[in-house]
Amino acid sequence: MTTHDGQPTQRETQNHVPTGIALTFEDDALRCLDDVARFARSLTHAPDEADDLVQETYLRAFRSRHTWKDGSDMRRWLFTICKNAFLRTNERAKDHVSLDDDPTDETLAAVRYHNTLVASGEYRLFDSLSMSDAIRSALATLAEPFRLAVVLVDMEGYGYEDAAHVLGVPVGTVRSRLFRARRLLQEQLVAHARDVGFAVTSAPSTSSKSS
Amino acid sequence: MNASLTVAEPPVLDCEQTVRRLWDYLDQQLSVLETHAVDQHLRDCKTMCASHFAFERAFLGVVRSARPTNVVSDALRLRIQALMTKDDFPNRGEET
Repeated sequence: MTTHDGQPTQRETQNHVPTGIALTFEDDALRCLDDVARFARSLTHAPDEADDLVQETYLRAFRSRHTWKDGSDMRRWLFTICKNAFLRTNERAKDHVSLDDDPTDETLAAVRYHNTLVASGEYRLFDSLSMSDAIRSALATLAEPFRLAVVLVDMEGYGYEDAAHVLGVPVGTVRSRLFRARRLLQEQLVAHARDVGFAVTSAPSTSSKSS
Repeated sequence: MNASLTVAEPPVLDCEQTVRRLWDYLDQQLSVLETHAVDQHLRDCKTMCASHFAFERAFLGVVRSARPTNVVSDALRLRIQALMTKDDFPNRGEET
């Protein structure tokens, strides 16, 4: 990602893969199987379909192994193949969604939303409730572009640039989709908390609000 | 040697400039300098900035913790292993 002062990002400086360990193509690919299967599940929702997609992904990877460059990011390569195989299988047009808002607006919207939760005393819900099932349910309701941004960045730990590479969209698009997806998720999680009777707590004392 | 080194100082950010960087900061997408600038503001801010960041950090933590596990069945693992160890698989050079 390009930063204001042209320096590498914090995540980039932490993601260097140790050198000196030579894996065969097969070992490297199989090492990524759990991650690819999870990504396939997030694309299809149906376990059987996901398994078929994983198999198709590895089949394509195996057939294209001559294009593989030693030392490249195997997981990112497999994710890209997986996403492309999914799109072809489902005959979906790429980038049909025109739901990309300004990332800065979305960031400020997240801050405003937190202010409303502080005012209602619900600001501690993420510290107090077990949310895994609710998050998976909420994630499943998101439109695919938003869901995939969350899966790649928040669950699989990709930076914006790698996620953009996998999805075949600009970095700015990933950011706007990701930030909006997070806000949509939060709204659903707050609704879930209210449904299960999450008790509100008093708001923290502050001199003023920042936004 | 009397070489003088100049160390860049992080810019001073106000509350709005800080919260605009909220997600980029939590996603570790800022440069070291910008990260220090946000850290500095969060330490000094007397209003809600640190609270905003703590809330969103907790949110990202619960999303990360919802990452599914055990998604590969034994049958699928065997299928893929068998596929990857085929010596005579035709190399068709398909695009990915």
